[in-house]
Amino acid sequence: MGMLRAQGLQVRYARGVHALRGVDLEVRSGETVAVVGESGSGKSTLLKCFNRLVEPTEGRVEIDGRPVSAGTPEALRRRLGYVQQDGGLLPHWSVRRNVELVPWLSGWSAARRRERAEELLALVGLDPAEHGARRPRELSGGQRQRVAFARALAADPEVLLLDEPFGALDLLLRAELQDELLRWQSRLHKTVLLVTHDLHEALRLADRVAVLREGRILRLASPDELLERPGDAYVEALLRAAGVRS
Amino acid sequence: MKFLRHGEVTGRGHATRTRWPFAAVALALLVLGLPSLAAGAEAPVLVVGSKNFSESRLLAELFAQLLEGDGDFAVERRLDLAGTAVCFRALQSGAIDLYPEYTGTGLVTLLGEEARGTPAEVLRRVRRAFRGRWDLEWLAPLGFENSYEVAVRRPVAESLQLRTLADLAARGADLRYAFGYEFQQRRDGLIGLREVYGLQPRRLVGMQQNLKYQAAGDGSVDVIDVYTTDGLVLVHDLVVLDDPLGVFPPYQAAPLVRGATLRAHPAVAARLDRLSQVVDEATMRALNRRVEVEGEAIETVAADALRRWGLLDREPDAARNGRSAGRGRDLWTVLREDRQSLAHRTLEHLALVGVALALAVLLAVPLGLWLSERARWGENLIRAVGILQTIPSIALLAFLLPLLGVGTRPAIAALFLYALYPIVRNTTTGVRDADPAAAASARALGMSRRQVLLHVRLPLASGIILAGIRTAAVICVGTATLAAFIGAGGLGVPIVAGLQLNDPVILLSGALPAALLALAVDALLALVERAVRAKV
Repeated sequence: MGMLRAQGLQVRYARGVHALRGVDLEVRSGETVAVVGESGSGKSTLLKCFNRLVEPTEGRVEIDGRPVSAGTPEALRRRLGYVQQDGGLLPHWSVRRNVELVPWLSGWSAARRRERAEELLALVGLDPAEHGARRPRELSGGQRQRVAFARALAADPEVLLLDEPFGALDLLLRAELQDELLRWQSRLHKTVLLVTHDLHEALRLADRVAVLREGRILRLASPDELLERPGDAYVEALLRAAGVRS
Repeated sequence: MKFLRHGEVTGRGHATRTRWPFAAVALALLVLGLPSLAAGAEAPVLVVGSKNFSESRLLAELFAQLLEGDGDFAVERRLDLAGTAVCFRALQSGAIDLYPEYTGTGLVTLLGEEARGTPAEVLRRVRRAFRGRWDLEWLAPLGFENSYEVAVRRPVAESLQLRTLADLAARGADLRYAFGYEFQQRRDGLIGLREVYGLQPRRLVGMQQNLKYQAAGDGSVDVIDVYTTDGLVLVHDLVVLDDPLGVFPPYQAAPLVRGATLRAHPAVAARLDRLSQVVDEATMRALNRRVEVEGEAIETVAADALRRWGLLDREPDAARNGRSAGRGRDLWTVLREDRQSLAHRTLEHLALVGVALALAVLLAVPLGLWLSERARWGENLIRAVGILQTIPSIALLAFLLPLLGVGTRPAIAALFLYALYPIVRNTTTGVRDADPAAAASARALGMSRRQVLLHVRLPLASGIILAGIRTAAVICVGTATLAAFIGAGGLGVPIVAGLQLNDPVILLSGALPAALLALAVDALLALVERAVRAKV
């Protein structure tokens, strides 16, 4: 479960800017697909079509065969985990309350929320007793991003939408959290759509990588396949620039 | 006090974490302020008004004591209304029943007619016109005329040989002039002097009545406008110029009363007619002198006069004697001796500010939230609210009078309007700019727009919103001193009285507590702001 599909997706903004020019993409249940591209390529727009932060001008977006536009955006979003670059934790809430956000919105009981929050803080490597009552600004950048993951996972969504989740971290911390994500994923098997400008990250984390340029997918392939046969001059240049191909 | 109850109820209904301290403060102030607003007894209540200079106040006090007599009427005093227009509108709207007016002012300022005719003719004309147009009655004149006149410092008048206004126009254009603001705008004032005598002052400043005397006394101006019966003409060495061409019409003082009041209480006319032709110019000047120069309370002077004329044998009501002692007290003594009335004024002041601020918060915070989501015309609406800020307070008060009468209501309304802008502006800006990443992620995880506003943007903006409320509160404490001009009390009362009596000590006894109050309110709200910011 948790299968994502976009078909013929186009997004035009008010001033005639094409963000997406016909995108087809499928993410299978339990699979991790990374979308890479330069800024302005439309990768973040593509991700936001799945939780309706962006409404496409044309095309279909489905989760498990049901159009995302079937219910309210709020109900949809509560079923989708979401992590953004700078975490976006609510600064006036404690860490614990941040983690409890979606369960709270979904009407869980206080006891159940609390139990769940402890479980998740432990999962992402934070001691609930030590960190639960703190404010986000009292944590380090890496800890904040761990909390953001705990928050995204709190209501046990089948899908995780990750929009440059490690973009604001320095290199070592980024590698550490990438490892962590792989570790969590080995237990959770979520369907993950990861948007990143970091090709290394995509190759490392994803089962398949989509290369997006000017609103179109140039190439969609597994990391191995991509390295062996780039299949496109731009993709080849990208791989070379990242130093993963000579 | 429909107004106040309304504020109370909504204050409770909308209490949120951010706002409740204000609702609570406002409620407390309400409760404290209410006794002062309570009306009196079983006797029919009449409201007597006056303009904000001492002769008008003294005459109003004479009317009031005469009407109170042996408890036949309960009289509410609305003294110190700011000028002719305010008084007249208050009378028209029924906010007051009567006030002392001058026939010449009725003719020229209110009817807009030529300043011509004998005293008797002028009285006939205003009586006919006021009865027909507005159902207002001029009762019997008191027997003195109090006209505008122009006075010159004696050394200047002698060296330039000035005896008439024509002499002044011919040889006095280079002198230093200080005229009252109302005088400058009146056809029986500077406008008439320009037209009839060709007077063209080169150096002219506007000045409040009693400051002019001081300025003429110490030689910083040469020419001022005065009233015939001013006690201060006697004190300062001034020469009053003749008016051979009759720019200044006859000004007989008389009670101007609503027709409806006279029909409901015929005794009012009979009572006030006892003053007919009792007060001549010399008497009035002497009475004014007691108030303006000796610093006696108008209640005492009025009671003495009525007793001497055999119209009243009652002792002056000591309880109402606000300013009992005479001139010459130092500030510390005034603050100590008047502490009861000052405490009462402070509570009145706080009640005005508290109610206005509470109402403004109840409107401005939700309005600011609503506008924060409407980028384009939200900004225009906030600018429109900002324009309110540029309306001079006295003009705003005068504009509100016909709508809301005199007293606390227009004062609260004006303060309310001044408080809106800083609160709306800060709410909108604070909410709009609150941590964009947090708001975006909350939305992406399934909060509705409303939930984002309530649980994310509003709490994050609460410090800035409170800063806006703090600004508004300080503005209101300052502006509320002007409430005295429309009879709403507060710490402006000693300030206005000090201006009229030209007594800086009395003035400071109002200004100093007002300034301290502003500082205290600011400090208190700073604490609240800090507590809230710490929580966010």
